[in-house]
Amino acid sequence: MLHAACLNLWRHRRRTLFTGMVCSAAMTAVLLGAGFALFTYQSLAEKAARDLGHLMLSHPDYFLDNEDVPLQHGIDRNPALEKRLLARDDVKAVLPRLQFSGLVSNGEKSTIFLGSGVDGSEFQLKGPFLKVKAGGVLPPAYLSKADDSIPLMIGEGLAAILKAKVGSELSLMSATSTGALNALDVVVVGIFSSGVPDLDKRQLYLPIQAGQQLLQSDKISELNIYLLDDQQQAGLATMLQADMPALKVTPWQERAFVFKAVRDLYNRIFGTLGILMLLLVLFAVGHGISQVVTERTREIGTMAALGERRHRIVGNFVLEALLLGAFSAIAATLSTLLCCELLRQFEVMMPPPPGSSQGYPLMISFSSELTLYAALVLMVVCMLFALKASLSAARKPLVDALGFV
Amino acid sequence: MLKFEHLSKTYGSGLAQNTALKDVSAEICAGEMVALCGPSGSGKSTLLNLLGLLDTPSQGQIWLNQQPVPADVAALSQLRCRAIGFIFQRYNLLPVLTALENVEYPLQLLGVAKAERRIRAMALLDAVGVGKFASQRPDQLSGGQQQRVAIARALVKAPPLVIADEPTANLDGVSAAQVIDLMQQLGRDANTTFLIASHDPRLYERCSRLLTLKDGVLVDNHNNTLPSARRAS
Repeated sequence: MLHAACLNLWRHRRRTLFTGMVCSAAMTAVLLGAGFALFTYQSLAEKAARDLGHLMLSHPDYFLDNEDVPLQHGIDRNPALEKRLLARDDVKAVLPRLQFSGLVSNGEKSTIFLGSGVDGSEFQLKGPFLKVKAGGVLPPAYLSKADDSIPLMIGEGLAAILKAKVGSELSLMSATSTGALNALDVVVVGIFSSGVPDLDKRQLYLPIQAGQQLLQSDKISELNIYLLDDQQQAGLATMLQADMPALKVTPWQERAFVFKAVRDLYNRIFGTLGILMLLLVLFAVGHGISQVVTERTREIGTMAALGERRHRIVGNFVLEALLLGAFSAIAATLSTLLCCELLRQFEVMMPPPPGSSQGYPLMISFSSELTLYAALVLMVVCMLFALKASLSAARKPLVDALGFV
Repeated sequence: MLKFEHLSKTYGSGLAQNTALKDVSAEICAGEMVALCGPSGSGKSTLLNLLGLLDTPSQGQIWLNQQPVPADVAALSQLRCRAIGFIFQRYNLLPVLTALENVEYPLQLLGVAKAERRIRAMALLDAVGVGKFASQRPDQLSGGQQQRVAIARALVKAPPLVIADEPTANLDGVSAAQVIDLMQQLGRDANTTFLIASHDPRLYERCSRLLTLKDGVLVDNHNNTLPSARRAS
């Protein structure tokens, strides 16, 4: 039977090629669409994890309660813990972070800012998560000395509001952890764009020691733990939580609100498109296979007239469809891989999404699991349509089938 | 060998009812070459389809080798496979198979070993004069060559009964004569019964009996007295 099915496909080369191309194009479309969705999800997840850290160690009330004074729910740094974490093979970095807000002034004009006190090495460890428009990033090792000017990075929107350039001197004002008012003079060393214009009008980065100096506290808001492998997140979270019951360990997924919102939106968009695409694929594949089988009704009638059993006739057609589906799936996989490679070689930029000022490269993530499922679905669909069409042809009165044109 | 009594075939129902065959009875002996004559629409093809077990009668009964033909589809299929060879008007060769594979096909259905069926099929192709086209597919053959392959396919399993629908309709005079000779000779060798629906008077001359149908009724059933006619052994 297998030999006969292969022979039929080979000798009906033109028909096989045409139907195979329809099936293959349909599966390629599904793989490319799903691959793009997958890439988008992976990129969003990666960005969220890079912004927040895979795990956040904080005071239990830090994310739940508004603080009365800055760092009311801050935590003390624990060098022993940081050292222990860094000694692990799966931990890439442990970065303290200070979150605060206040007023920033150029001497003539003041505006609100959202500040992040960060370790200078964060920019080296995390990679290019900000687009530096002018100047540079914070120095990796800032030592707070009275005679040093304090470096500051500000968003391009904030720089525009304050008419600040690299080298401009600004003053930061904020409430301290005891409720008093404090100010700090800083020098702009870099202007960045996060890709979100609204954030760029408020955001600034300065060394964590300078932030602590402004807030007059040794505490930090949170300790962000970056992992080499996302799979280790749950295990490490459990271990840390057990080790330090007084603190709260939060995975990034719980705090990635933008990621969740965008993912929900994309789920709906890709879901709807996916359903439409699936219907089109079913229609195209079903029509192609049914037509091929129906065109061979006379052949089916002849075989039945000569004494071939119905189940063998139908079995032959189903086997042919299975092989056709398998060949098409291989062709679709190869063409998807080719598209992925072409997109890697020749970068195609997508326009900025709503609320963002930066486009992103169009990429397709190739998933072998998804490809396997798509191939199985394609083969099953081919077989089902072949079964339906060949059963219908085999059930036709022999006299009609023999005269079928 | 083949006996049928009170065969009727009606298509449709109510006002659209059409009776294609009315109360047709006859008996055909083994080795006979019988022609079904009559104008178009007289019921020749309908009778041929019923006797070839490709269709079921609305009324009446058919006996093949003294056995009533079964009603079960699978049993009918098996009986066709074993006992009946078909020569269709439009050849109905399987397009993806070569001439040799087409002729082998009925033997394959009977479970004959590959080596043996190849020898038998090739012998038949040689006998009908298209041995050199054994590896060609039907679309690479002329109408006459396809008809010969169809004849070889019908005869390869040496069936007791061969049903032929207008076997010479698409052939020129010379080819038609050759095909008739061929059927007569091969049939004589294997004592095969031929039931042939045709408009071709050249074929009538060579048949041992003529059954004439008109408007679905058997109006004449007589033996052919011409010397060229093939007699039942």
